Amino acid sequence: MDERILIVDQINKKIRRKHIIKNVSMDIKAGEVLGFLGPNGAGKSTTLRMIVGLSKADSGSIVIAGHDISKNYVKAMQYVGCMIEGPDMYNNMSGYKNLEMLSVMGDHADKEDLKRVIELVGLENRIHDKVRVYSMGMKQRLGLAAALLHKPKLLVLDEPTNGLDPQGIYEFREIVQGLASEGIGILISSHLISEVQLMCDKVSIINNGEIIRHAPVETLLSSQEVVWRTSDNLRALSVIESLGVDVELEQEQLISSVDASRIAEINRHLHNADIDLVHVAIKEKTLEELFLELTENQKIM
Amino acid sequence: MPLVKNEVMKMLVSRKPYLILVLLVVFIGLFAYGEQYSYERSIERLENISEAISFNWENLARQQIKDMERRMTSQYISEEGKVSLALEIEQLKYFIENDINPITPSAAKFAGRFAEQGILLLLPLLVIILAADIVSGEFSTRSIKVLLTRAVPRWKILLSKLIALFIMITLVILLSSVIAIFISVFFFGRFGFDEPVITGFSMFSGGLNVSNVIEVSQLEYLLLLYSLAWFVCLVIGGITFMISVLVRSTSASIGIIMTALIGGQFLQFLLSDWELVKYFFVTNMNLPNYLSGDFQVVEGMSFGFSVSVLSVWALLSVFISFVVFQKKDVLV
Amino acid sequence: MNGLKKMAWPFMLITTLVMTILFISGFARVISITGSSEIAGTSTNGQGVEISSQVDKEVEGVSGNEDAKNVILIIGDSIGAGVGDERNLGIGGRLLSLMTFEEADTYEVVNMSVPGATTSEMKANLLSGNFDKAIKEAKYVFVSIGGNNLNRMRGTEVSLKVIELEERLSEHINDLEDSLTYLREANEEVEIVVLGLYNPYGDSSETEDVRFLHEWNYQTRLVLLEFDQIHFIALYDVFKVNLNLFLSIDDFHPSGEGYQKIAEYIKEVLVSL
Repeated sequence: MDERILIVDQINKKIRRKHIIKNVSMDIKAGEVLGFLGPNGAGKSTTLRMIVGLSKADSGSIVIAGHDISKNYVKAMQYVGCMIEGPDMYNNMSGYKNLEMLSVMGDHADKEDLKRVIELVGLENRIHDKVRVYSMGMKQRLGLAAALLHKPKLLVLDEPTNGLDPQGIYEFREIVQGLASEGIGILISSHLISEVQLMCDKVSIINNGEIIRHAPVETLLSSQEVVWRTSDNLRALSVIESLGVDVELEQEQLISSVDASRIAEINRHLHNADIDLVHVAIKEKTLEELFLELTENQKIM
Repeated sequence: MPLVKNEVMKMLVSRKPYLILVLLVVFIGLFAYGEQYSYERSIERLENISEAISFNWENLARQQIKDMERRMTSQYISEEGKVSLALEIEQLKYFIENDINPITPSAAKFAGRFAEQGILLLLPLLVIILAADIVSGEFSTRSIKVLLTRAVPRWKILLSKLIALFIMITLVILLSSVIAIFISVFFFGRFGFDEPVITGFSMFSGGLNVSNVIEVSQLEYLLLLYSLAWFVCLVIGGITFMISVLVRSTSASIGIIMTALIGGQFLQFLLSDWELVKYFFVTNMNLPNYLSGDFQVVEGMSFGFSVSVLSVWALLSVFISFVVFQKKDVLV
Repeated sequence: MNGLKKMAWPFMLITTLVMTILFISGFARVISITGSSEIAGTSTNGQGVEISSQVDKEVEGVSGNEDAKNVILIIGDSIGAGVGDERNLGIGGRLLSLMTFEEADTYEVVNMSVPGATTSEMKANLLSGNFDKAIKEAKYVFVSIGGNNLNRMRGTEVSLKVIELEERLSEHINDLEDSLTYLREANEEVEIVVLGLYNPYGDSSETEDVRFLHEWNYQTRLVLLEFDQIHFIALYDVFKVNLNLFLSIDDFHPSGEGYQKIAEYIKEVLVSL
């Protein structure tokens, strides 16, 4: 049995002749948290909307828990809970009423389920107030509760930490990790790269409608950099290059992604060449830097 | 379907029902007051004219009866004409027996007039308030996202909205009639449900067609009129529903349908010259006219025709709504 | 309170269901009313209609026997019908009252006047064929028509009013002509009396309106020139003498006195031939 909760296979979408989503693919296993990153306008939201049925893909397939969304919409959607670009509920009604209305749609959720999700997101005290008076954070929690109501196997969250304070973000992370440990596949799109770094197992980076990187977080982060500052950077550059190592000179710094084990060797050669070391350090690349680097010269279409 | 219950709840929770209630009470109150006022003035005028002789409607009525009875005995009037005359005599006799001046307003009569007048603009307006934002409202508050990301097919969601609208329209029509009756009773003091009404007149060039004339009680007549109002409002509801789905903006929806309604009133004048106008839904909205024969009907239009035109418009609107809704990408 | 709320939804559903059934049945009834071409009396929703057969014999002077009688046919509008006459005699009744009993007995008054009728409606009524028998047997025909043509005019803008008056007048002339032709063709010998229009508003009328009234009567007389055995009674002059006496309490139709006067003039005109 395929344990992948979500399989997105080569989906494409054109809007008014512009090819805005090109052959995007990704997959999520049960218990996995996939971070979906990309600059504004890259196509994150559009892709997510296709996954949850708000838009239709022109080609390709989207399979959730074994059901193709275009052929078996109802069955596929049974396993999905989502919050897309904001938890927009009915303002004139209480949070409880909102959830109650949603509970009768599709697979019936009962009062127990309502209680469960309300407690999970921590809204017990305010759940009977009208949504109109909720703060942004409370609305997000309510949205999350709504998404979890029908015990989904796939949770799709678009910018879920929007408007949350650090405390809220922390709690959110806890909830997400808790859900993942229960075996729910989670797709989070965010622009808070630091958060993604902390929460996700895998990352997909999209730009201009195409996935440009897709890998586990560790792999991406295991790229380290070694930084030298010497008395004579130009000569040092050629010395290091002659060792067969890729290195770049950037603003008084020699940067290379060489393996840390070769640092001692390189230092020796520099020393032999009469070059003094001012500074040498190993820098761990953050996801942010990686992200910016990857999307650097690519303009938004 | 519990979905329908959700939709109805949404409609009730918004301020709309209150608005409708207020509008109804205000308009009916004004209208009733106006009727009472003009009735009192008519009586005044008639009494003034007769000077020394006080106005006696009863004599006039008896005179009319004698006149009609005489005409009936003539061999030269058609069977149908005789029956029609007989009915009118019956009606006048009722008024004499119960000592009611035929022009006295009553709650029942008023409620009927309200339906006849309201069917063209006021009642549709109420329907528009209900229907215009039924879909477009969800788009503007973006709650449509929550609604559509459920394990429920889109057509079911739209259908539940449609049924909820149907329920609300039916209830509003009921409410209108009840308010009309009770407010006017307050003004006129009489229900008048048993009064006979003769209906079934139709006009055609040359005169009155009396072949279908029958007598019913005011209560029955009210039922007839409000059934027509109900039908017309359902049609307007359907069309507004479609506009709401297509346009996704509540204010634009309201603008469009109001323009159609009001513009249609003007088009009425071109009715005799421009063939196509009779296929427009607005020109067919005056169904009570087919019962009372108040004014001439254009060649080729009949009750059946108008009902068909309205039905086609409604069905087409609903069909288009479903097709468009099913395909639409939700981008809010 | 919660109990009430719980009741609300089922209550709404049931009410809707009930009203829907009611409305559908009402609607169906309307269809049957407007669509049926059955005679009302025989349709299933008849209300036990009784055709009254009271005949006021004193008023009519019509005896019960069915011997061939001289028919006096009255056609046209409410004045022909005798509206306003306190004793309900109308022109026919009052004319008979001017004769001896024996003579009056030989006449039958047939009245196909329709209150509110315009000239075109009168013409349609004539040409419908329903009264051909009466027409053929008529010895005299009295025509009162034209007063209603001027009702229901749209707008009071002066220039439009003039045009519309002209239109109405020419319609009246045509319809009157057709009506008289029909009468003449059906019955070559019948004597026809046409009543002109009088002015019920007396001195309070606008000059323009009075002028138009005269124009109307004048044009009517011109039509009559084409026919033989035809008379015109200038009611305008007859009534002008004593308007108050001749108008009924509604200040519009003739009173009993007024009808009596008309009958007297008609007798004069007929006798003179």
